[in-house]
Amino acid sequence: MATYGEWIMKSARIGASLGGVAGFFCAAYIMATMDVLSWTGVVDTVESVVVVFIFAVMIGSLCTAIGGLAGLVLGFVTSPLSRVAFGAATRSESSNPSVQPELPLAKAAAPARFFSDRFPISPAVPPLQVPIDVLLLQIENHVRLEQAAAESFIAFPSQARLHSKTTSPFVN
Amino acid sequence: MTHELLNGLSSVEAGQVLDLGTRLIVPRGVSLFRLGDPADRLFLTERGRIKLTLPMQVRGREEDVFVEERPPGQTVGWSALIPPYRFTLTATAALFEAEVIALPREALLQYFAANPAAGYKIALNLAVIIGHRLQLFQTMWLREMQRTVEVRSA
Repeated sequence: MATYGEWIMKSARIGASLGGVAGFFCAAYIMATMDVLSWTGVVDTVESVVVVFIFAVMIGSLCTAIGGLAGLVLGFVTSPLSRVAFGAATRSESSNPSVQPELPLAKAAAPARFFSDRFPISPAVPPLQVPIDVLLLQIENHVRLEQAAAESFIAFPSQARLHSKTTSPFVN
Repeated sequence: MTHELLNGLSSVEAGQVLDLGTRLIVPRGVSLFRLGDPADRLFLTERGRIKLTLPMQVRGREEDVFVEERPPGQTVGWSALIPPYRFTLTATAALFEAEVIALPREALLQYFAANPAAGYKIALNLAVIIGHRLQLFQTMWLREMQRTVEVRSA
């Protein structure tokens, strides 16, 4: 299972690649079709090609950076969301582990196959979990929010402040 | 730098107390003390932040879980003045290198005996620090209890 960091870096790399390629070709096309360049003589053509290439490399580099940044942001945003969404979709109805019936093993639960048993069954995909470093950060964030809420209560004690809600994902 | 432990002391008294200590540099990620260690020194944070953690089982692994953080001017390790003189948390320099003043218990107690007025003020400051910690964690404990009750009675 890819960690958040791997997911985000992969997203940034893809964004940078797409941005770079798209930027390079777009810039080359735009520059090549401009009237300021001449394509008549050999010298003019070589000069125009060099100009187009330089312009395309410059714009392509810029788009690589922009694409990388966009991919980074998208990866950062989508990685926890995708995990949460997938986790929610795959979570059992009952969230209480004490009453949750034990799941049968994948092999025992697999129905008899019509054609053949020669091909191995792909192992059951384990449920996605938040990486442990992210979980520890969530705990730290939760503790900080709880401390802030407790400090608020100590400064101005009231029942409302004592039970005020926080934005911690642990309790929401 | 003003230290919460030295509130109300004259500059001479504060200087005398600080002279009892030793400056320590705690590199990033290095523990100042660990849970269960003998507590024979109290620390005043001068620079950086000291992160206090407790061990918790997370997915079958023991992890140091964040409890609180002490910025410059605050006191760490008051277990050095409270029996049984054992640290009840682990203290680590958090994101950056930290600098602390380590005050040995024996030197502090001798100073208090020789300067009861200053010792009294420090004891009151210590009571404020400990009292605040007690109120904070009492509140946090009650909030967690409330949630447990809500979950159990849902």
